Amino acid sequence: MPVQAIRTTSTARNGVGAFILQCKRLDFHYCDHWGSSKGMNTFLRSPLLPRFAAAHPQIQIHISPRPNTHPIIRGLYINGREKVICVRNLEKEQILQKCELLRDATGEKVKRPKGGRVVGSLNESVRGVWDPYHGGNKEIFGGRIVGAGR
Amino acid sequence: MAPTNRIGAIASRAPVRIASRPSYVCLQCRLVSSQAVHKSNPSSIYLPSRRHASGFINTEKWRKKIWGSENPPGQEDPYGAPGVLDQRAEERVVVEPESAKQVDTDEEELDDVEDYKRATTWEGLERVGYSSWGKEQFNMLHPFEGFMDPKLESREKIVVAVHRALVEVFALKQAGLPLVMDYDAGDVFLDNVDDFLLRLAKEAKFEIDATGEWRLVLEKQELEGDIIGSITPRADVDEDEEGDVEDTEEREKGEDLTEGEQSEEMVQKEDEDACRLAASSPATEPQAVETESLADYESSHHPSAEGPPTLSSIPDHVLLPEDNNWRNMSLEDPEIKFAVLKRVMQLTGTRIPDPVIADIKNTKLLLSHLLKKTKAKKLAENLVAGEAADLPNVQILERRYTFVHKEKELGRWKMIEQELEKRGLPVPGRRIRRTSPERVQN
Repeated sequence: MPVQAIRTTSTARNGVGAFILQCKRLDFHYCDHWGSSKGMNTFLRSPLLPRFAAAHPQIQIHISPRPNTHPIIRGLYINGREKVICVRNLEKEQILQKCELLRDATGEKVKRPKGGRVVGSLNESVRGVWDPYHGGNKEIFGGRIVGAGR
Repeated sequence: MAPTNRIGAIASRAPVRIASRPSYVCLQCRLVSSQAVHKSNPSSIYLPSRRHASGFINTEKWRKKIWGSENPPGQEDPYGAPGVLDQRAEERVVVEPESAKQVDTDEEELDDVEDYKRATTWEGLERVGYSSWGKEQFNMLHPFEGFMDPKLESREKIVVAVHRALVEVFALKQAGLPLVMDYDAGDVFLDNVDDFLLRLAKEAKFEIDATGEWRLVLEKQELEGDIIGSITPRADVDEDEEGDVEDTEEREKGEDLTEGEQSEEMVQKEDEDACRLAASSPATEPQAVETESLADYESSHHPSAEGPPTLSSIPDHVLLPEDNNWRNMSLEDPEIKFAVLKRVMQLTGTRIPDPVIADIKNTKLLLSHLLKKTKAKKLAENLVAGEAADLPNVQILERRYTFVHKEKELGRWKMIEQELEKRGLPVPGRRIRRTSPERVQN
């Protein structure tokens, strides 16, 4: 009998078909009075913000004063979570970087990969997870497998 | 017997030198020894019973030296006698019973009036002087009305106002009259403000004459009469009731003195001239103001009493002066500068600050100050006027984004409001009006 192919369906992944930007809204809060808001005020007045807003029509941009506090940017995501970055004393270019950071993020909590690993992934390992029973067995002491090979 | 207290112990160990006059002895020791000594031999010992400098030192001698006179001011014995406050207290005690007697007599008089029953508690009595007393009623009856006109925003109107001020000042100067103007006499005098302003725009021009001075040139002479008439101060004869006698006396005196000074154009308007000239002399002006009652002042001098007084319903660009020579005029002469600036401030409703007044040398600088755009104080104003506001995905709020805003966006606010009202709870976003005690009583 010929080998039968395993029937699988393609796993749905954002970007495989259409890409949906996870950031749905960015709130910019500034203060007219505090000095830490100077960079933010400059950013809002400059063409950087309108350019960013025009480049991302899927993101709702909301600008409002938040008096007597440091300036913040709040990003709201499709998974319902939000990320807030305080941009006190930053220049307008740095604030733009923070906007891009928020745009590129999902709403997921920032976690380290588990178990001391360096890289986490949704994909299975390409060559399989190691087990002692397959590959590189050594015969020592008359046939008994003492150490598993490489 | 050994004395138990410390003072007594010291006194017993080191007896005080009583025989000679002590240089310093503390009060306790003195008291103790005085008690001891008095019992034995009161007459031979000198010990002051009160601890005053006047007891030890001849203060009179030193006071005379300090003040340099035989009779130094102040009390005779400032250290010995009771102080000023004590003396006043004694005086008050003497005075009080007399005033108390007067109150009794007043009360007796009141009791004689029919239908009057003196209250023993404060229930039901009119309450006066609590924190919001009179404020609400006063504010509604007398809403605040400033003395200056509302500030002009339109550029054309400001230019027209400056031109008009110049025309008025130069008209007075060329007629040889003092540069004194009435604030809004034009409302009463001019039948048609629009027509007057149009004529000013077309016919009033400025030229430099042979001597190098600026002159106002009018195409029609009757316009000069209208201009001067519109700024002539006038005292209200009909409206004054109480102050009338004094006013008319002053005016009569004014008329007698100033007949000789009247120019030909002013013959028709005798009363107004007399009023103005009388008013312009410093002695009469303050008196005329004082005798006007408050109501008369409000009705005659109020800027908005007869609608927007100075600038009219014609579109602004039509009223711009045709000739632009006046923009180069110098304002170096202090009299003219003062009169022009004062009139400009009245017409535009803006106050020109003193350092700017000092810097204004010509009309151009004046116009540039009045026409310059003030920076927006709030960033929100800039943003609303900027590029970002046009984008469909951008929302700009001028006020803080609150819980109410959020709930309104989500569509839950109506329900929240209804539920709060149902439970009688305060609704956020609504001002709570405090009730006055008077209302609470009623």
